Amino acid sequence: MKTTRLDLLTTAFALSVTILAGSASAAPAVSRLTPPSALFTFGDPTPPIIARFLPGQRFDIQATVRPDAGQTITSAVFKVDGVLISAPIALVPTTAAGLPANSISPTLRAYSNSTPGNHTFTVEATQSDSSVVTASGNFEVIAINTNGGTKAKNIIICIGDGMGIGHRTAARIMSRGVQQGKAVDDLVTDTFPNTGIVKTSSLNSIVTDSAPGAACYSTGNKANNNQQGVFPDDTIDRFDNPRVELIGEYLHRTQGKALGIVTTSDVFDATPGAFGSHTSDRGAGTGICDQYLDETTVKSGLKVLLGGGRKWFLPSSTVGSARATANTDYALPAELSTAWGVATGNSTDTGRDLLGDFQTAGFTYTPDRTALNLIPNSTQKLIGLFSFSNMNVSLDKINGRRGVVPAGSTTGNPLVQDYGFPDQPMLDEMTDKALKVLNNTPQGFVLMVEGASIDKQAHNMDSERWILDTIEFDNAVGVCKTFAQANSNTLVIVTADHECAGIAINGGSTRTNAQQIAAAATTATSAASQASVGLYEAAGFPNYSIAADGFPVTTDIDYRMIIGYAANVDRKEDFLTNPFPIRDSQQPTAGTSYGANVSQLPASPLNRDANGYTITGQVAGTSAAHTAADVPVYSFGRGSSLYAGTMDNTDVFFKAMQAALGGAK
Amino acid sequence: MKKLIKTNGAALMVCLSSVFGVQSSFSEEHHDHDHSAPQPPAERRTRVSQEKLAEMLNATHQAPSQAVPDLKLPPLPEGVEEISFQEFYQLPVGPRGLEPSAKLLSLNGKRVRILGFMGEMRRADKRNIIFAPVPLKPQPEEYGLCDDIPATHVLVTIPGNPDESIPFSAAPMLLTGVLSLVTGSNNSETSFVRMLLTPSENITK
Repeated sequence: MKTTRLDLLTTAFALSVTILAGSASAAPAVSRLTPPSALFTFGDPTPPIIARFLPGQRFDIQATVRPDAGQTITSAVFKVDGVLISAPIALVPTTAAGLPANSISPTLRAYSNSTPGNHTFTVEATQSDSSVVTASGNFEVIAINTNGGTKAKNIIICIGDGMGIGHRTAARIMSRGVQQGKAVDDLVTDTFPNTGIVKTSSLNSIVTDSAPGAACYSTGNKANNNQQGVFPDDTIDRFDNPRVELIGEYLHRTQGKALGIVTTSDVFDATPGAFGSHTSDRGAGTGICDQYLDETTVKSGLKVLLGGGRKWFLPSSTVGSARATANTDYALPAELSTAWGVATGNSTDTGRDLLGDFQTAGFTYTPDRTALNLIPNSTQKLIGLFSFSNMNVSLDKINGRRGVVPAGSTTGNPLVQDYGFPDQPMLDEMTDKALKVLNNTPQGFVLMVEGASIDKQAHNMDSERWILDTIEFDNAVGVCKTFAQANSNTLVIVTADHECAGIAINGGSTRTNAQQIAAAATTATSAASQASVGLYEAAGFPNYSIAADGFPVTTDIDYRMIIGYAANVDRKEDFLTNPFPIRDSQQPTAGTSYGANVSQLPASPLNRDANGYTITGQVAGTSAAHTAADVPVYSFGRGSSLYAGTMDNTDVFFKAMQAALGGAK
Repeated sequence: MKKLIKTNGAALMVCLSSVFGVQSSFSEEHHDHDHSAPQPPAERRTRVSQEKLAEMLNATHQAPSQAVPDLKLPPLPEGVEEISFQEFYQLPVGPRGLEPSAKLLSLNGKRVRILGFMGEMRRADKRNIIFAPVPLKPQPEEYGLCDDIPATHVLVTIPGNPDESIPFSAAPMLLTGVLSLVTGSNNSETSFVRMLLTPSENITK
């Protein structure tokens, strides 16, 4: 039977009346039950089960209970499969807006269940007038095949942030070339034996951001956007949310493995943060970095932390420190820290010398590439902070090494020099050192390697910058592959947290570089610019010369590759390499100022190419957006055969854990 | 130093492809929309040695561009010294924090003038503004103060009614006041450089 829009409206109205009538007569109500489940939200117990855990993996159980007016919630219990859980339950007052007075979140911390299969859990809350409310949800404990084969000792998860299919194809065309219809050579990732497709939606959106996009790989569970290592709750505290045990925590607790985090971003950023912190606010940098030392070194065996973000590690008495208490630091409630056995934290310690504390805890510190190269391979713990915020991107780092000055520069310096950090390592160099240090742990390790600015530069629609960052990321994957070849019980997974910007390779330019420059200056009209995009056979095979360092001699070649963006914003486009990146206010100097005492770096894509033609965006704002497109996953080494087919992003976690806990062929 | 390419300017820059002919897959005589007969490159995949790359970069070396002309500023008042944001700290950055320049240190407690932008943000202390070398729109209530504010900024205090906010202006502003250098956080802010405007000082937009 055909359902009309009127039918749907009528049904919706009837439901709303039922809900209103119910709320008027019912006693207390449960408005949230965690872990999230379709059983609680839709009354549907059937698969897919939303929350899944490893046998013994810890997580918090929580409900939000709304009492009747004038009443309070006096007690609550949780049951799993009808059996009372004997553990302390904290009655956490809710602080989120929109809830009735005296709403309470009964919370049971650090629960675990070792019996594979589906389980029903129930909250029973009692109001001050003795009325009782119950609500049920479900979760699944995943069965591990203990006869799967040899166990993976080391797990390496390489995340190209925002890296979809298009990003990789562009990197291959530029760095390897295509002639006569065939890639002249393969990306390293192309050589991996198994390939799959990953669905990336988060708990509250088809379009994820990097926090839940990465956290699904570290927890096996969905999270709301902007949240990592936690489920959503009804308090405004950024660090008290219901937790899920992270991959590093679980494998350190059960097997003694070490953890490494390597990124080209600020180390507090969402993807690295998802592997070492629990917070509902991915931006809470002081607290996230404090947790790296207070918790992650202890609970996950964190032994390597490499990337940018030095500003969080310096006491506020040091110039350049960004340590602040307002909204960015953490202090845990006692019931949480007791149950999980972690430090309570200090939300007012702006004067903390976190870098010094890391060194006191036995970490060797390296501030630049030169020092990194001198680190002995026998080093047990390593922290490297190579910039104050995000590291410079590959194109600018390579130009720095080549001594290339951006066109139009008024300083005469390579960009990395103007940023103040001329000696930053590439991702593959950081990865190589991380593997050498982590390999000193006999029990093995988990290493997360992130190519962060594939995403950040795709947001900026800066084609050449994200392409070179994808090449840099593939180089790091190559280091991991080499390690796995020498250490056979290593699993290497290469994937992304989401796609960014809706990348398409539209074709090849019909113009030489000189013509492209001239056209940008003289014919900046849509019609003329669009006509220069060669389609189909007119695209030919863009041919980039590759220097000995593995990167293009120049990206401004004749008949270059032309990139398009689907989730784009208004921008000027001239199809020429941008000499400067978009301004990043997080940098300590916000880019060097020039002439008129303001930064020479463009503020946004709309004013980046003064002579380009204007492309009207499809989304609002000043940067391109993530998309809901699936992303690829590639695997190599022990357990790689598990990664064939189409899978949910949380499956990537469970497959890795099958390899680590139960083994794989 | 070498200059590789000019990418978004007029057609005055020398392109490596036209100097060495290694980039183009096609003839330089090629015109727009004429892809009917592309010629394959001489090599299936063109590789360039480090020595050749250095040679190419040296050949395209050009002098730095002239500085963007400074805004025409009013004459410097007597007893006031000028400082710009890029003069605050030493580059390259050392192994830990930023090191103040000798000029910045010498201006501690003195009247100075500086050009920049007022941060667009809601603040509890209504007589303070964040002053920076770039336009800013930080959202401290959502993300904390620190993440979107470059270390190179000035916390400016403007005397007046504490209940009256300073109206936002997006235009570049020229501020004159007494500079002070303060370590440690205040009201959760890590502003090393601060400035107190006196009633006699002007804000020039």
